[in-house]
Amino acid sequence: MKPLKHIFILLAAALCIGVSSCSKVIDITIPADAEQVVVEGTIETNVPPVVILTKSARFFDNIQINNLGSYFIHGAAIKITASDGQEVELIELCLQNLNLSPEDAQTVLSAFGFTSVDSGKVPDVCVYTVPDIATYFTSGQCSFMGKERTTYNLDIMAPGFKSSSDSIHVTSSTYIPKSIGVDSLGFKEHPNPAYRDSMISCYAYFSVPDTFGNFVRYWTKRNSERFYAPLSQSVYDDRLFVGLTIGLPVERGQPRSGDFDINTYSYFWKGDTITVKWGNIDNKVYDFYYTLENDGGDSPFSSPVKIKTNINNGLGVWAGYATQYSTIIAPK
Amino acid sequence: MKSFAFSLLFLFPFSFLQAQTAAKYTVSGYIKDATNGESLMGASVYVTELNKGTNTNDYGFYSLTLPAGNYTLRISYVGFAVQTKTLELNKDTRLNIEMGSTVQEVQEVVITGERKGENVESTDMGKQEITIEQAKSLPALLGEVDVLKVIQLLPGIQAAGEGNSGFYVRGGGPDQNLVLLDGAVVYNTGHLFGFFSVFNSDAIKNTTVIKGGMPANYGGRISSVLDISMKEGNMKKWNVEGGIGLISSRLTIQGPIKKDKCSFIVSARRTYIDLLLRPILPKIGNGEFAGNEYYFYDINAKINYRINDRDRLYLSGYFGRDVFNFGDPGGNFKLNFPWGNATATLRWNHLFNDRLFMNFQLIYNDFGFKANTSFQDIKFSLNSSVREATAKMDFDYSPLLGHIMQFGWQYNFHVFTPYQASGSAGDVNFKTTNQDKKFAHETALYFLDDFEVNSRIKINAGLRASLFNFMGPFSKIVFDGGRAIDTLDYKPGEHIQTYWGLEPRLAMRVKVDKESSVKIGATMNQQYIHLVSSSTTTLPIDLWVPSTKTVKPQIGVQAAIGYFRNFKDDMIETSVEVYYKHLWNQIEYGESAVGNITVDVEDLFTFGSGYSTGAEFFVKKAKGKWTGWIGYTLAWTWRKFPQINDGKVFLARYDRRHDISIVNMYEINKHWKVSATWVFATGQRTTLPVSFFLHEGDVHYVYGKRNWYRLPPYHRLDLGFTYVIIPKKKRKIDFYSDITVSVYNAYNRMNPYFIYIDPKGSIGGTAGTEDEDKGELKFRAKQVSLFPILPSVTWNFKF
Repeated sequence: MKPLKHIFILLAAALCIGVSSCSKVIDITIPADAEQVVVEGTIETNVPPVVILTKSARFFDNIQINNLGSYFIHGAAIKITASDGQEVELIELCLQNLNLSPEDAQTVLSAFGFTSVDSGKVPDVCVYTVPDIATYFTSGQCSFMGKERTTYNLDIMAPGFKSSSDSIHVTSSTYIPKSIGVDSLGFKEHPNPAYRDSMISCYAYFSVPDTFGNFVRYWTKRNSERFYAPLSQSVYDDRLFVGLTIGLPVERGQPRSGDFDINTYSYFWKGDTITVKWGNIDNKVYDFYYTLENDGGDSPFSSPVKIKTNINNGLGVWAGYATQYSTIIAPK
Repeated sequence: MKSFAFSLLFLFPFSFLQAQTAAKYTVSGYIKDATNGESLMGASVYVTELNKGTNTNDYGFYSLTLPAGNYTLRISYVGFAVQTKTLELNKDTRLNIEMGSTVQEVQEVVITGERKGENVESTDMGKQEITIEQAKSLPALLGEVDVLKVIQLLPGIQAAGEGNSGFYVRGGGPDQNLVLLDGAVVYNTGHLFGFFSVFNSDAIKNTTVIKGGMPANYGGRISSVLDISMKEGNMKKWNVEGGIGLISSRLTIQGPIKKDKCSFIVSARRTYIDLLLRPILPKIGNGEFAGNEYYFYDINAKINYRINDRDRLYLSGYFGRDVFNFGDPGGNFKLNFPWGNATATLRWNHLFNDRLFMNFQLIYNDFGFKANTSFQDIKFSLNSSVREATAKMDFDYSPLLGHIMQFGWQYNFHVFTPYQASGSAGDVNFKTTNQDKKFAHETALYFLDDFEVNSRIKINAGLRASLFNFMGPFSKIVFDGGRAIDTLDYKPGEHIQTYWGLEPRLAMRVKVDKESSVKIGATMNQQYIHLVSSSTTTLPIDLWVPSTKTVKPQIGVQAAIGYFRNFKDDMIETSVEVYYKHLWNQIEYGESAVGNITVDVEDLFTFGSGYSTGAEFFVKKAKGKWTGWIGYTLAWTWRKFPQINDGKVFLARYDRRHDISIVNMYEINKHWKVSATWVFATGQRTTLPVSFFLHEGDVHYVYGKRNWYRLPPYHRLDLGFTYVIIPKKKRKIDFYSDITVSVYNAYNRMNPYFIYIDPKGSIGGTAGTEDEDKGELKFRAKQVSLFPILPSVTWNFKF
């Protein structure tokens, strides 16, 4: 019911005579809240695991790109154990220690979702990954990569926020299901004739298994841009479509912090090379993103949503993806 | 409990005994408005010689059984000249009385007084009547007269939000109010998401609100009753009235089909925001608002037929719709979204004899919404409804003066349609699973006895027994972690879950002296159907759900004590009431619940309890040129849910420590009337985020304890001015009109509507914005206010 609620908020805004005059900045005193470990971990099929460890922070500490590093947790011991018996201890790699060129540093930073405007000041952004990550970049192979139908247990011993001896134990588990990709991609013309010359609607055709319990998250990529998740919602379950072979529109992903243009929203441009990354996930990963993407805050039209997490003693998500990629070029 | 039942058993036969041991006669009849034949409910018939009296029931009928003798009856009703009738009672006598207005017939009725000492004499606690004339005298938001906004000015009743017609009573939720229109339950009381109520003021005769001490003839909700009766239609002559306002216009036609035998009334109202904005919208911005429109309309209609002196038939109905059409200019998304209520009531009043009155009703009501959407070539249709068929029989029996018994039964058949969606993507059709209709039967029997033990003590004791059956057909797939683990399948008529309950009600008045009394009341209520909302504004997409295996009936117990005192021959009425209310099986959405059309909504619920306590102070000037009241409420409202706030007690969103209403109406002369209302309320509670975390480059919020933050206080002054245009020369047709100017929020207070966290800038800086080179994200709390000062003008007419 999220779209309907958003429409009500729009309507309320329309009622508010001169919207800008109806809102004002106020001072509120925020009570102290305990800092928590935040996990942003992924393990994809045929890709080594990557874990970003940060901590939650109290309002109203403004975040600056230059102090971004202060949110990262360094020196954690992270171990991943797979249900097939394989295990790996991750190492920490920090951007500042990699001696990357400013351009490469920008590329890596943008992969985390950040864009530094000052190439001279690269924040101390770190990730945890497998020790032989370099081999993966050169050969596409390494000692530990995600496999379908496998459970991955995550065990983190993070240094305490007040003293490093007071460590925090964080655990999680995720399952990479069987990969069920899209059957094909296709196009339909834009419903509005005014945009038909420049924009096009991309469709994904797929067969949904006839047993419940399938979840998916997808991203799209235009040409050489990076992958972005759709703005409205990136995760779907199979409740409406179980057992069907169906074609549904693919919403063009875009950065959440970017400008929103209702005229171009969700469509692709003619001539685009479109890549759809389709990742099958387990229900807990679905729950995390479904609650994360539907939190409308506390207003007369909505209640705040506590984001569901599969992290014990922390926030965030440890997500396994059975990924497949499909590419198509939009006709001019 | 046992002793209570015992006393009932004892009192019931005792009162019959009393009735039969002395030779007595009955005077009975209907009291009507002489100008239009409308029956007057709650009119007072007072026997001067005995210093006792009775009131007419909801249909204008009264019955007094007295020893043979000569009596003087004093008949009075709000806004009418008092009538005196002498009577030699030596046989059962029918005495129908027509009351004449104290003021010029065509003018608005002026409040001249209430029933003699009613505030002190009756056993009623927490009960108030609002006449439509009072409502029309007060300033109104955008000129739309709204009885629901007027009742919010009473102590113990608070608005669901700025400009909202939804209301909370003594710490109870909005679904705990039984809202009746001519006996039919109204499931959604608001147009435009609650900013205006569905009750057209021109069609309403009377509004009664009971916020505590609910008598046994009402049931099915645990907090309050709002009983609204529609006008019956003028039995004497044709009458047209209407008004042209800022956002809507209304027209009412009523008249006799056969004089003093059969009459009708039809009243309609429609907004025209859509028509006014249609040419403007395409010119705003880049035309992105073109094609969007919103309007609402409603129609009330009633026919009333007096078959003979003993039988009367009424057929009344309401039909209202809100329609919202939305589409983005890219043609991406289109929405057609109509919703509304429909009710129909067939009522038969029958007099078995001079003491026994029956009201039999067949009621149908329906509330539902549809959302027809299309997104690219995906078509999607969503609908949801609650439908109800009711049969209801009520008896009023008046064995003795000062003694009224009421008993009856009620049966409801409920059909709940949850979010049922179907759609198509190209050639493939799909539909929701797990959204079967839910069927339920609800039955109740009640008995209540209102009697005077002696001249000081009066008791209203009642018992309601209720039964609820959730029945098949019903099927549901049980999911765990997204996988189907079981299927529940019930056949048609199969019992799935049964609940029952006894609901004792007791109210007692002890007179201290002629002008003051102490009243105590205790009630227990059960509620079998529920509305759970994730917002303060009750939205049409919020679902009504029945009690099931998962959802238990809500139970409410309320105890209250009050002191009532009148001054200066009832010119000033005062009261203080203190209450405590405990609520069990309360329902909220879970902390992580997100509405989803594919999920049975009850799977998103979590259950707990609630309690509230408070004191209400009320001073009312009921008579004279200047009338009005001051109400003050001091209250606390808590909730406790194991799955919310780590199981710790928290203050409810609508916990309001202080609430003040000052209402003034002043008639300067026959042309000018002015009114002013001032309200002050402690800010409502809200849950704001206390910290944030980063995920995939975005900021996400972590919320603090439930309702930890209190919004700044709310206060507002509204002013109303009415100029009555009286024609200089007497014309063939009396034409009355007035111009009403309302000023909402006269001193332009920017009241808090809600607060949100507004992130400004971005971590990386957004190209093309002022933050481009800052690389900084700042968090600010912003308070949104809804209505600034809003003047409006309405022209009303009547002929």
